[in-house]
Amino acid sequence: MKNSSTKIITSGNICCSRFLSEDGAVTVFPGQAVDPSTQIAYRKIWRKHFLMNITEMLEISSDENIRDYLTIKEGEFISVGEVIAKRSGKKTQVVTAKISSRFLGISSGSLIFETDPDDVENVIAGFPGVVTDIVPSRGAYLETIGSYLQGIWGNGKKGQGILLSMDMEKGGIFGLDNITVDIAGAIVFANTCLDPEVLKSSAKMSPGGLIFGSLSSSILPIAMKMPFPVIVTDLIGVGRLSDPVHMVLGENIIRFAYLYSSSNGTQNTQRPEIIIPQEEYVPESESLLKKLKTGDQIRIIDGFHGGELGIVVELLPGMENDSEALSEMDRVKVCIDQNTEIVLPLSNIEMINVK
Amino acid sequence: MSQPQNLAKTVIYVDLGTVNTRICLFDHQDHSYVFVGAASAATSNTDLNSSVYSGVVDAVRKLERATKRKFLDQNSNFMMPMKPDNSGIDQIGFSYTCNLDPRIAIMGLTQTGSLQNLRNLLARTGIKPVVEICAADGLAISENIDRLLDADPRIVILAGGTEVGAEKAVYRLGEILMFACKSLSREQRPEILFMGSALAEQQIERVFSKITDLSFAPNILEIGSNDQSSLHSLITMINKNAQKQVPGLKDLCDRARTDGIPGEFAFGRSIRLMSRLNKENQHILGIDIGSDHTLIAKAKNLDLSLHKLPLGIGSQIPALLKSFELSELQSWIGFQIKESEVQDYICNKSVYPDLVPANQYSAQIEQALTRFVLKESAKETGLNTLLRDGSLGMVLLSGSVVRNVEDPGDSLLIGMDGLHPFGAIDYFLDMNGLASAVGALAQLNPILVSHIMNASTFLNLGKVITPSFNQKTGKTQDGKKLLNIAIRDEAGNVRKFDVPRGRIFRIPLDYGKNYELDFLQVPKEISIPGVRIWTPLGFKSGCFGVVFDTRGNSLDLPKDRTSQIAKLKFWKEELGPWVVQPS
Repeated sequence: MKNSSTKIITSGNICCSRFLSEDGAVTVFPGQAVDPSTQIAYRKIWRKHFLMNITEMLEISSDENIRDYLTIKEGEFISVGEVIAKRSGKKTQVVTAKISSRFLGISSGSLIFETDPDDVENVIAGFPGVVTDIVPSRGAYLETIGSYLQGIWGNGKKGQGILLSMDMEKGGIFGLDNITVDIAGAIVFANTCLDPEVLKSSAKMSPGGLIFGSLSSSILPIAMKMPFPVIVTDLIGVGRLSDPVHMVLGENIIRFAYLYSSSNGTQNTQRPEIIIPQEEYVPESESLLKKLKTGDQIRIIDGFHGGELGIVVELLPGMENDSEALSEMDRVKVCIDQNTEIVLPLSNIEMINVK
Repeated sequence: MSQPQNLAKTVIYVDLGTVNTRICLFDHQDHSYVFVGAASAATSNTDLNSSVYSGVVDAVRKLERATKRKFLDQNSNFMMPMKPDNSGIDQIGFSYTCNLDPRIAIMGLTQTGSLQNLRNLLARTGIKPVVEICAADGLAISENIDRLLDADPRIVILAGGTEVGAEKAVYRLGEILMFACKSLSREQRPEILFMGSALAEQQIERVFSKITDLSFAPNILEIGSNDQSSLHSLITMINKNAQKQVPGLKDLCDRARTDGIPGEFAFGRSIRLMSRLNKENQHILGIDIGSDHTLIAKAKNLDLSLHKLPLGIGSQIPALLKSFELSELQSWIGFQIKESEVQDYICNKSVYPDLVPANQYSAQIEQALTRFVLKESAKETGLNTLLRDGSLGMVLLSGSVVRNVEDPGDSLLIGMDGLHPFGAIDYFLDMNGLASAVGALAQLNPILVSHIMNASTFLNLGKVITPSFNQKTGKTQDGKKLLNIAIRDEAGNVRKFDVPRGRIFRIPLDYGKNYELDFLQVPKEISIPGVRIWTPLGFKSGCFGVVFDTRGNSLDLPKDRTSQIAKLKFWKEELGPWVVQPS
């Protein structure tokens, strides 16, 4: 059920939760500084699985152990063109990957691969802050200092921009005359919007987001379709911004604001949020993973070895067929134990920072 | 009557709903359990840091104030057992509906063998499997892995094989599950309940115990889906899953020293038990309208059919609105209101499901919505035959939207309009929210259940007799005599009535008294399904006595708003005030 109180912080410490609706993988650690796009947690599945009859491809008899011919291990990510199996001898046969995938295992002489990874749920930070606490398998609490408002309805989008106000002396109604180049990239707040066509037209100017004190329920379906975030702070119906909300927004004009609402619309129990950090947000110059070096301890985020710790033994460059990635390392060889070394994409591991 | 030494003198039942937590108190007085009172508070599972237990504490504190007794100690723990100063309690039972769908996938070797048994088992708890994987369906292992992962199950029940073989086929089936688990991160892996061949248990344990949580239950193919141990294993699994999802549920189990049961199952069990009290071969239909879902339980001679539908008067209203036009809803509201205002109320209600209708206008909107919940539920669960063929004998209406009404007549009208069943049907209202209590306490304290089932647990609204006839082809005009009947009371006094057509014709009678009804004259063009009009119909009077609903086969409202409002007002006036229940 809904929380019976609405949180409004004019200025002070802001603590926001970023949780999955059910158990998944958490990708941040306490103390980590996050930017708005930092992934906090996710639930992922591999949508497509396919079989490869390696016995036929290698032209070997069915009673032979196909593991002897494999050049890959279970859980490994395979790129296009990478050798999967090889038969040496008089009649050399090489089997290569036709598509990028992950090797899952062997069933009845066939190899099972999986492709099309898809985030069933993906929780991002939505504002710059610091991770203060982790809830295992669910997400994290993030903190910053500034102003904070909870809305009652959001369209499930996230966005950011400079906070601007409509002319409240003219009723604060978001109308056609407000759709100017000024709102491009900005977060605009107004008492209400009465005309669905105005809301539709506003998309042409690509605002960073819109905040309304009220919106009629007949306009909500259009608001849902907008590519930018729309948050209602006070009422579904006809009304205006309540005084505390107006005061907080008014005091933060021309500050950078972040709008966050979870993507389940009215079914969602988490209220949409407006976060206005005190300090100007400066994106991090480099990601933490770029600091990775041989010998570092990491944790494997998911997959067959999900949750296990390992030591980085080698940083590997990008795939040969990916010209953009050539100069960048994007994979890493990890030693899990004496007998197990696996190659993983950088995004599938996290550094273990012990301070 | 001798009293067993370990008989619980005070029992509390906790109903953890999606929006409200409700506490009911029962005392053992004069050799019998009686319902003492109830209190409710908001369910407190707002985020992962909260606990449903704090909502339970709030509700119990309210009950303490109302009864001037103490049930909790200073640390908010239940005081158990009861003390000589009348403080504390002896027993707690609870059910919950505040959890998410457990998303159960079933896997078996054959459609008609293990899978059918698993389907039957799940049906006892009102759960439909999210996916069925059958070894005999001829799909490739990769396709079955895709299907299983797409369904994103929280629980997988694996069955198959007899006690004399087929374990290899079970291993092949298990292989699909093993690869699906390997594909997922550890946190996302489903819990597994193995109900297959005991011969395969060792191997299954060897493979799956390292991968995910695994439990075993007896082979469902051997013992069948009606066996209590299979049901117990399933409920235990669902409880375990709910405890992971609902913050504080585990805490409540520990403090209450009992495991709860899913609310759907509790409600279904209540209706099943009530079918025993009903006339033989007649159905009882229980409808529990909640914020997030509606439960439809239909039972006859202890044979239960249970459905959980995603329809409700809270966060699920927008889903309900997809199945009908707003103007249709508006036509059932008895005052002038714009469609946009109705829509605004509905949207606010979906954002604040705990919103209580604070005036008659909001109450009427919710009651109109409830009629559509009933219509949609009947459609989705295929109840139309039951509502037409006269095999329905009793309807129990449950849920806060029908309970928290100013006049129980509103609830009766909701049932009559929303379901519109033909025949002679007794309507009951769950005034105290005890429908699930009966099912939840049935195992813990069967004596209590037998006592409260004997007492007037539910408010008898009355018998409603609805003849079936086509308004367009009938010879009789609206308002003219359709039936001629006689009612005889216990003293033998007979009163005759002409029942007019196109009306709600109520005959007020003394509450709880026995009467006999004779049909003196019934025209050929009408039928009263399930009623033998040539013999007297005995019944116990409810608070609306006996009601004849002669509005015809379809309840069509006039087209213009003024006439619609007048019609609704007329029907309400015809039903009249309810007779206060005698002590």
